[in-house]
Amino acid sequence: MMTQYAALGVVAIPACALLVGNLFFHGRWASRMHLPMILSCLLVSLCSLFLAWEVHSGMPLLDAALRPWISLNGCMDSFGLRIDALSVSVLAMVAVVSTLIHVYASAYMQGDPGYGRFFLYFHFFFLSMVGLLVSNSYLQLYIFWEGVGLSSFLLIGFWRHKESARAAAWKAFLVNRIGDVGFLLAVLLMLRYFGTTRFEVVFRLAGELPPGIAALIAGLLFWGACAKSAQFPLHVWLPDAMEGPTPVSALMHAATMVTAGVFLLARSMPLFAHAPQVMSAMRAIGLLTALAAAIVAATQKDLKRILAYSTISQLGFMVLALGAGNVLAAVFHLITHGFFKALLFLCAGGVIFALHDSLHGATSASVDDAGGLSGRLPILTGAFLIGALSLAGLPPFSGFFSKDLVLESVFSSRPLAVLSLLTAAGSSFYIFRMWLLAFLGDRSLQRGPSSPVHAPGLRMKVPILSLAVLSAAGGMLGAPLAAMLGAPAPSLDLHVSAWALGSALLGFGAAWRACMSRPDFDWDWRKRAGAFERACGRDFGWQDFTDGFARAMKECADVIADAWENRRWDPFTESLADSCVGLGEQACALCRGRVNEYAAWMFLGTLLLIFAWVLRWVSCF
Amino acid sequence: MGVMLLTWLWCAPALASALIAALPSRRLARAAALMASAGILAYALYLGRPLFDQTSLAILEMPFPASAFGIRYTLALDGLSFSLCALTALLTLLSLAASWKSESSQGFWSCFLALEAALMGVFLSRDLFWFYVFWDLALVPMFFIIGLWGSEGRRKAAYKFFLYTAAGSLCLLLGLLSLVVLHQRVTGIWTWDMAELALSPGPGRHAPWIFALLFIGFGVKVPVFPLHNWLPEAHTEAPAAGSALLAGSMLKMGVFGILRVLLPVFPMQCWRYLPWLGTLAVINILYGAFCAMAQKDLKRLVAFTSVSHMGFCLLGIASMTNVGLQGASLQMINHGLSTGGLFLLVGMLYERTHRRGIEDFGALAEKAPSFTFFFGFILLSSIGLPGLNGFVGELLSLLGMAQSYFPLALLASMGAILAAAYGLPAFQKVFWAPAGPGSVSEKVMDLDLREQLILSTLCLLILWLGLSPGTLLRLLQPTASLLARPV
Amino acid sequence: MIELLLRLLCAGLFILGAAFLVRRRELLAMLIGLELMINAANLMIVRTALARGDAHGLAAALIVIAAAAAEAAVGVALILALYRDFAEPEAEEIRELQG
Repeated sequence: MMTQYAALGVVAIPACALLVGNLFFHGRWASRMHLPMILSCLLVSLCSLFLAWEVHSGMPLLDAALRPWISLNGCMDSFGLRIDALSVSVLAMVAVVSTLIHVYASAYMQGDPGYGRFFLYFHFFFLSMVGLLVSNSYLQLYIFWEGVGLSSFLLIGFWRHKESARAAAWKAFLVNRIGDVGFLLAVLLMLRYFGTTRFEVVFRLAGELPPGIAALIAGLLFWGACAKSAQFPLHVWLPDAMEGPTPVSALMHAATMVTAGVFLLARSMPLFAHAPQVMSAMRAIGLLTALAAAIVAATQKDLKRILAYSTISQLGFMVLALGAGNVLAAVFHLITHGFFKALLFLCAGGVIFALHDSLHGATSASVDDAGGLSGRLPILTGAFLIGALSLAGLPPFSGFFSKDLVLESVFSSRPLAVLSLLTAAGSSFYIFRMWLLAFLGDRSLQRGPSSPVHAPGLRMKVPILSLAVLSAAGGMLGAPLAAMLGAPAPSLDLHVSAWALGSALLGFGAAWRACMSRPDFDWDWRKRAGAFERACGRDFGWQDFTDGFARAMKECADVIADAWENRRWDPFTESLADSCVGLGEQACALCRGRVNEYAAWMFLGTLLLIFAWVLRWVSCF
Repeated sequence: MGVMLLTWLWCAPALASALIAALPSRRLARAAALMASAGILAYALYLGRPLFDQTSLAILEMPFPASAFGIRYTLALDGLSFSLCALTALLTLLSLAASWKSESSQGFWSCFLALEAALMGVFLSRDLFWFYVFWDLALVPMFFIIGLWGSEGRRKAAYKFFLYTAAGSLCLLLGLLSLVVLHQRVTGIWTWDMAELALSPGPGRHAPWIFALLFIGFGVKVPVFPLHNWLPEAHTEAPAAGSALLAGSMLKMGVFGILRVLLPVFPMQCWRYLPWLGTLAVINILYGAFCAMAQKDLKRLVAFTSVSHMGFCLLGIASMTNVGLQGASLQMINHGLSTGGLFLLVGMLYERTHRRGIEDFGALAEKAPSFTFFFGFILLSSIGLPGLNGFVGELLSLLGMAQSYFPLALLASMGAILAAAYGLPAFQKVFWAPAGPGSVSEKVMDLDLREQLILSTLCLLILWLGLSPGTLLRLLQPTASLLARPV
Repeated sequence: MIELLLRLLCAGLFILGAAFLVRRRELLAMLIGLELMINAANLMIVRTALARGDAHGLAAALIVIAAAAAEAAVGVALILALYRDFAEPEAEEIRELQG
């Protein structure tokens, strides 16, 4: 009974918080909007930890229908909840990380004129994500999936006066919509073949599908996940999404938005098992995305953009693991990534907050603006280092264990192993490069803070330190997670670990050499290889392609609406009416008012009648 | 004769219309019109009670015997008719409430009730003769509403609307006449009754022609792709309340006609032409969306979204499946609520500033937060956000098409992407972007209580239908399962 | 022989009247044309009635004569009135009522 209430509470509490916030926190009270939201986050965290504990201690799967939604001849879906190992493990991470980010945001956004509005959107984001995790059917998942898309639109465009923020928000929504259509079509196909999208039914019956259809459904779901989880063809929105306030980026990258796609894939693994072609596509796209994004991340200057590409790269790892069929590795990496990426973003936010006066109103900072901050911001430096070590996959930090699992799952294939090790080295390189450039060393080309820096306050420090602890110790979650998911307990394969460690150290060494031994290297190579830098900045041309495509569609719309509708078709139909009038005028010429003519017409008519009569008379014979 | 409960549903607005036209003062006329439309809404809901309880599937009323040529005054209220009548009554009430401040003469208020009467007649009639009479009568008040109380280009728009739709009506009349006459020739019975003409053996080898005539007649109203271009102009030039009713109720006449006349009489043809009908629907969806994307006038934009959304109705019908037909019926109601709401909102903007261009506004979110909320909410329903009503209708229509012909569903779902592409940039420009140099945003006052009440009603319905469409779907189910192609 | 002549006479009269009506522009001449046509038809009626020995035909002929007389009277009166107002004998020039 308790578990059911807790499961219901996970969705109901944020909804209530939103309602309360919307109804009561107006005017003067808007500046306290964070109170109900943080309280709700805490309660949801407690609920989800309780559920996780229950599931871990052997609670049977909870899959309950709450109330019917659409029912046509009993073939449709109802709203319901599903609590199993997968949902509850991701849920616990999402709830805890979101709580910390909420606390952080309450300090970061202090004094913003839209403070109340921000927390409403922010919590709606959280609600959508939580609802997505506990859904028991694809259709219900789709509702929250779009809810996530909508709140990301509202939050990325939160500073709505900024042109770039509006464009980024629209781009995010549009690209996600493109992916969602794939998801929607998959839902349609499931409804067509199963009559429902309940997970248990779909997974039970998936084997009976014609193989082509199973692959089609799986492919469409993967397409949808590509948009949300920023995988190759549809990743273009994520780097731009940095236009939102930093807590939004943290939430989006660690807990709410991008994890949704990976979660969907992990959730659908029983279905994907019947579509091996899609699995190999997932491996290919995951690896391609991971590698390319790591390269791009190594060339970026904006702090948040580096982290954005790093997210794309890490998500590629998760998709790669899923493509290899290893749910445990993907979910484990999802969870540890949630911890350390949230930590890294909050630290980056801390840097931007600290440099506020030197940035002259800009909402993001590049490595040019930072530099040598370790003396002034020791806590951030240390915390960022922990995040970086975790991301790079150095023991004993959490990333090491999860990345190790991912690598293990693909190690049997030589090319995959080589490329993923290369990516791992790249990850290590870009994140240490960022840490070194921002916090350590003294370089003539960096501006550095021109005004006194703001040290983070308590409400910013507590989340950062908690996340640092989680990132450092998250590796311990592997065993219980494996037990919950019913996978064999992860044991370090020393062969793989050695390779992984080697590549991470290689990346660190390269970063040290590029940033510390030759302090100006990061500026020098840009002068020599400007074309390469530009290509990286545009995702090797893919951004140009998508922009061009969007422009082409816009022009297409203009052509249809203007050249065809307004200039051709509309005048044509109007000209039909005009030609009727013209015909009438022509007919008028026949009656000019001459009595003689009328008489002549009369005779002609009479003659015709007589002729017809005669003809009929003749034809009688 | 009995009490003639259903007759009152169209007689009451007709009488009210006549009375209001004769009232001595404008203010009196306004109050009377509002009260009358509220009363009619209550009456319509009262009549629909047995349908909700599922105690009866339809209420039939045939007070008079058949007269010459088998014409017989027959009304019936089933789930589909009821939902459309209730929608019409609701939209009339809301539109009148929304134009409360317009200093229009008695004729304005009277025309709206006359329009309501004709629309009720269309949705209730089961006799094709009466159906046609009401069908054509509906044109007249709308002609005056556009022509007399519209904006600058109203005269041309009114003539265009009238001629275009009258030409459509002519096709419809020819089709109906040939149907009835041919039926008489084959069976020897004169009848205009929809139920008796269903599956009529009359048309025989002439069926394609009659089908085409009827389809054109109904298609002009829907509007189906090449016959749509009366709509943007009429919508743009009509007063806000007129556009709301035009989009909300009048367009439904076409879909209703297809459901009530075309499908029952020509099921074979419909099945045979399914891919073509579906293709037309897809063209409607994409064409409307593309045109909406290029518009610079808010009202024109909403008008083209209408074309796109009615495409989903057509898609559901073309699928000829139970699910698709229910989706189409539901989409009619959804479109009435969301597009009606958007037209009212644009009208409120126009009332304040006498501008409609997207570029004329900016940063309204700061100036008018509750306006922004309502606009955003109804826009999201219109672009099909799950959880709101628009999504359910689109999903069911698409599902129906996916069941009968998946590639068309795939193409139609591109409409969902385009919806985001036309809806959100306009929203961003009007509400988020800083006001440009020629902006009139400073004239915009936030919504007052009356307007908030009107829009809250719509929003609550939108949310209710999105979260529990079951109630309405149960009403629409019988018609749909009757028309669906047996599997 | 007489039969043929009579028929030719009727046809000739009718065509003459029609030609007057179509070709001549003066209203009075057109009226005369009309009268000629009426009389041609009447002659045919009388002849047929005599040939069949049917008194109904003769009665009809009398009615036609009466109607023609009335028509002539009204027609001439109208023409005179028009002539007084417009001082114009030709029909073509009078087009007050043309749209």
